[in-house]
Amino acid sequence: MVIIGKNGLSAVVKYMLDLIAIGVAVILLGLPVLLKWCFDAYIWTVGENYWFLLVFLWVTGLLYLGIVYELRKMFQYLNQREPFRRENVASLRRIAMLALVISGMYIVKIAFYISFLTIVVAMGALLVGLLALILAEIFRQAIEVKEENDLTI
Amino acid sequence: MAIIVNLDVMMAKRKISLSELATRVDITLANLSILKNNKAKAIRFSTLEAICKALNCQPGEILEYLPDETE
Repeated sequence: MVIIGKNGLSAVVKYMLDLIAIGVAVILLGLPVLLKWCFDAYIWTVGENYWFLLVFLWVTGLLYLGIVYELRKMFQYLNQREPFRRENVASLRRIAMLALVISGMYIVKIAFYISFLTIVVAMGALLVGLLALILAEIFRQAIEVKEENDLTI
Repeated sequence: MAIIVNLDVMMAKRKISLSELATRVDITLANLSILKNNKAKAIRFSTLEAICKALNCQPGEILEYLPDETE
């Protein structure tokens, strides 16, 4: 199976990221209506505050969109077969920051409205943030090695 | 960089063009340009050997050490 390139898995993942970005944007735009409907129809919103949840989901949703945007940028470079670029290190650091902020917000939310899903998302975001931080450092070292190799004639 | 590549001087002496040298040394023109313009970080012994053979000279005639001015 081809992993990297215009016909490879990375191209498919990039299209998936496009779809996710559109989906999240639509959900964020329709959030007031959607959330109202959830409050009317479901039980999981019992004990939650509508306005708090609305603002909370909007902010974390926007942060999540930021992560998708950075990932999309990285996959574009990957499709051009140029994965070792300094921009990718910056992208990974931003992803780490965004994910850690999301995780922090969810952990704060646990203190107000505790729910099982909140804990799952908080732990997931924390892991993504830490992994992205480590990947950024690995990428930085890889770029250094690649530059050294490219400039050895 | 304290080590300077004086490839152009030697090439002028031997009256050989960049592309011709690239063919004889069997490296790409782009890499030879990096070497000539002092942008290279390192040179393999095999490349140095091939250049010396093509230009019929010693490594010392191509490479030069200049102490850094900052000190």
